[in-house]
Amino acid sequence: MREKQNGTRVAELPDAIRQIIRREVEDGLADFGAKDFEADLRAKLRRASEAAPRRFFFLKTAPAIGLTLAVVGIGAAILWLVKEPPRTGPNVLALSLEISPGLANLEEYPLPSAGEEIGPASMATGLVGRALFSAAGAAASVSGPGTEGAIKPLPRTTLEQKMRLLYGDRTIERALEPFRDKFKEV
Amino acid sequence: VTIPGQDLFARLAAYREDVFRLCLGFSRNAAVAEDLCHEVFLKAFGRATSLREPAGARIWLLRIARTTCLDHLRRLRLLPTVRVEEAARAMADPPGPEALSETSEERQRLKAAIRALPKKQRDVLVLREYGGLSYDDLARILRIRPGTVMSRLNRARKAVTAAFKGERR
Repeated sequence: MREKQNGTRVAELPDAIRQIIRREVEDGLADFGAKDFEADLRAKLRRASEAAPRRFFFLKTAPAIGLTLAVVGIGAAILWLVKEPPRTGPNVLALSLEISPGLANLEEYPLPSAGEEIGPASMATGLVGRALFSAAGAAASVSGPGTEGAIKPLPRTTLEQKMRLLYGDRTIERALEPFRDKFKEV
Repeated sequence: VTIPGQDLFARLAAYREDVFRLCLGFSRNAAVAEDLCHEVFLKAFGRATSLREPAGARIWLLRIARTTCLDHLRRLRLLPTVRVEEAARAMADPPGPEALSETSEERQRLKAAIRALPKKQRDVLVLREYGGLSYDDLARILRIRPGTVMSRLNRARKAVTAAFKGERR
């Protein structure tokens, strides 16, 4: 059997299949019609409209806030790392880097290499003394030609205070002993 | 979702049987079709602003119905499930042998034959046979030419008939 439209022939389904479909649709519609579709739909609509603000928050607002916080956090972390590198390990290294322009002129007192761990034992042999000595003299050398961008040395008193806090007065006094006369020269 | 005005609600709800027929055709399950039908209307009310021509409300609604049903079928493929209420109903009230032989068996066979169709042919066949849509309406919903609708329908009907008869033997 064929149905015709605009001269085009289209195959038709056999009656048996059409009957199955018709019965299936009728059964479905009978069940469907027996229910209060509009009341059910209105109830669902009401629930959906009540849930909408919460859904909007969880789907749109919360991720946006999270993303913003993450970006700000990452930015702040990068800024902190650039501006203020973490002073891990013995703080002597960080402090000696602050006064490096002064130390660089003292060939007899080689600088510790980056990442080298410096503990109280090496301080006792004079590192702290060298650092304090060069800090006192660094103000002059850092302002010379070719020192643009050099790290500004800490004033001797500040540095010494930090050292005393870190390692105690007795250690610092012992470390400074060989350099007492050199400080006077500076 | 905003609660629509009485006018819009009544205008769209008038097509509920058309929507249900389509949902039934795609899902082949009355309970699922009912849920899908609600989903279609919830979507439609949420998108009511995109309904520019009130005269085209039926086609607009049936297009949403088709998309919702296809999404549902896609979800099923990703996550095959058995509905709890269906399983409970089947256990509590098993169909008698007559009903099984006359209805369920034939319906299952037809379901298998339709499911075996290529997607585009199945789309046209379900919209036509279950939704009872004209060729022009089909062409508007699927955004294809009526000639294409007819050729797809022709192939779909032949394939379903052959598969159904083949299964029967």
